[in-house]
Amino acid sequence: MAYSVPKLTDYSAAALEKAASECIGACTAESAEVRSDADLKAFRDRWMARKNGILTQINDQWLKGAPKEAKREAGMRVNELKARITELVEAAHVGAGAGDSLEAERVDITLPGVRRAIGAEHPVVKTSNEIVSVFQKLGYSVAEGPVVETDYYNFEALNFPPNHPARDTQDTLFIAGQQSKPQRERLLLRTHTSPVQIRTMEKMRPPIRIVIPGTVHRNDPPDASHSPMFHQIEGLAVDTNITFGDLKGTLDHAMKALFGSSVKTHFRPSFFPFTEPSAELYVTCFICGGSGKRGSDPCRPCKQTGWIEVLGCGMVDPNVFEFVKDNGYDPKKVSGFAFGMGVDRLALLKYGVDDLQYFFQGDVRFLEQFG
Amino acid sequence: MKLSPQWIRDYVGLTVDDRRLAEDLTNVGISVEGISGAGADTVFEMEIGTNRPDAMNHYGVAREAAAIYDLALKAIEPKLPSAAKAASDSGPDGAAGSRTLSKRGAPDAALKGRSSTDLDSAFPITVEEPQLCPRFSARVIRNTHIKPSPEKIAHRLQLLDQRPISNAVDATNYVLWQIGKPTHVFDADLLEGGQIIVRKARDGETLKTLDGVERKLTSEDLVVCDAKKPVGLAGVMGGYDTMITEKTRNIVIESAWWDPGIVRKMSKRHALHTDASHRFERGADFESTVLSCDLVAQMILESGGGDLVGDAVDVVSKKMDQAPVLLLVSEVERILGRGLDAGLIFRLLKRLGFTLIPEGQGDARFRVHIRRDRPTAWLR
Repeated sequence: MAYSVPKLTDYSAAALEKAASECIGACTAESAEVRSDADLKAFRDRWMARKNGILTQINDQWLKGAPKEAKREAGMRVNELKARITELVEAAHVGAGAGDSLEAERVDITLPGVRRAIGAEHPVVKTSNEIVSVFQKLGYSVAEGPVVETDYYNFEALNFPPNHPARDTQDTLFIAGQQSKPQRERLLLRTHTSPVQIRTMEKMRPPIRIVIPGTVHRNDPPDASHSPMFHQIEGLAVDTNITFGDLKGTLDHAMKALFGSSVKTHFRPSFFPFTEPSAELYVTCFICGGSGKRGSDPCRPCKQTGWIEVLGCGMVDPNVFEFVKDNGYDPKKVSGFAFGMGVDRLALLKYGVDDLQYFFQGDVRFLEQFG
Repeated sequence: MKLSPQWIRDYVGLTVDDRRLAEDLTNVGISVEGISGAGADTVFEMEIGTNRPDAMNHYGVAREAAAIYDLALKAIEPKLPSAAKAASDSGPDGAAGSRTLSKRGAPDAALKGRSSTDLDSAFPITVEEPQLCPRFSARVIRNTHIKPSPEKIAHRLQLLDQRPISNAVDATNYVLWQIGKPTHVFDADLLEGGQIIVRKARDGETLKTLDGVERKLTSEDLVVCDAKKPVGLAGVMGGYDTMITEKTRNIVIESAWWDPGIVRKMSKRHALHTDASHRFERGADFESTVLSCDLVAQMILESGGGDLVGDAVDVVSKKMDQAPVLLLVSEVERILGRGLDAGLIFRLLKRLGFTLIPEGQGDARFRVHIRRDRPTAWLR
């Protein structure tokens, strides 16, 4: 006999208790009768439907119909009952009746287990770690610095005079609202990892050998080979006897360690305000092997020249040492070299990806291929 | 920027072909990114760094080539009608050479005052801002005719994607790409009061520049003016109302050295970036103002006829001298690491136009006089 909500005449504690437990009993019994999804839906609707569900009826009849003195007591009981019924209804499932529970609990032990996905290293991070490790093996330590920098560390201390055209080459992203501050204190997003050279030299006396991975920003609209946010690795070595010859040798070794012992390196004069002399390093294109062609087609990555530009470098400009002279960097006594490279570009070449944007869109379908 | 290897060969006797030249230039840091065209019409697409304004022209690149191949660099000598010929130096790389302005030996007079009214010229020039305009040179031409440029000139300009306009204007463009010195030509009869004043603009003054844009000026702007109004934004762009037209008969040629800082500020403030401002921002050649006036004058006279009036006017308000640098061969070794012998260093620097004077015994020390167009040259 299906349960229906009885009218309460007696609002004593005992009577309420009895009515509540009858209700719970009926609900439990009915939930055990659920055999199919249709039954389940019907059961739920009968008890929980807003308009005419049993819980609503209980509310209307027992609570609203209660005399004034009994309202508080009745209210408490009804709430308890409602909570309990709701629990039962939500726990109900198909085949909950006795005898069905074993069937429902049966496990097919021949199925493969549930695999938990293990994360994979992002290709840019992977490339960065590889490069850093090549230098760590040469005795370099890792240094890091802030992404939001001051004009002083990003430009002035690196020998970019105020209002000099060389600053235009950096496409800087400035933090708004800085006009009231003196120029050297204005905040910007660092355009290269070079500021950390100065920060490190302020804290550590020579000799030093550091490598600096980090995120940098420039005002470049994003496309297949540009992104306003990208990654660089900087290197700096200062001692009493470091020469341009050491720079060439170190980088030649590093390139062979990264790209294979058969790559050749080639230096070409260039210009950076913080190095003098400055150079750009090219390696033989590892796609076409330096020939400039793939079969009969032109090799795109190296634009048919057979060489790929990898990094900028040079001997530290004495003007830069002047900014940290008090910490032991007398340009007459020490010399050093510095280099900086774009990591994302190398990762693109290394993994044969043709669009930089894939690295930053966070599409798992792309990233999980690196697992 | 585009350069023509054929034009470069005017100044240095190269024996290598264009492709080889491009490679060798790239390997010394004057990067040739692309080559287009063929034969005499070959064009190099160059990428020249911000520290090498001296190489942003054909003569500068020719000088680099002369150093690479150990060849002589041909001097540039303007040929002007004898009556008004300035006793000039033998080319822009005479850094240690003397600078005489006219047969009267006027340099001292020019240094003393900031105006040229005491010289025998038809155009008085007053420089009210000597710090910002340490040198202002000019030449005056009368009774010339404005016509299209000779074919050779127009063709060379077109190779560089420069539009030929008229013989006078093209001459300034040609000399810019030739020796890297920006000049400007005014219609002399449109300069009110027949004089030139270099001063700061007054708030409220306006100037319509050659591109037709009416610009509001402030006291932050440095301007070339006639007696009444601004006629040019110094080092950036000349004025519309005083430009050369087919009616022009008399011309004033201006060539000056402008403070890089103020040119850069004006260029940014007015969002006007020109071939001239690009060079002045990075430091143009202090010495070749008179030479460039002479070269422009020569081209105008040859194509349009006319006469020079008097000598070149050269108002030097502040001597821009670069102190010589001490070059220690031991320092070269300390930094570069390889034993570069002094002989090679000497030879290379000499070909590049530097003057080396040995000091002390042996080969170990040199005093190096820097060419005036390498303002930030650093030597170790």
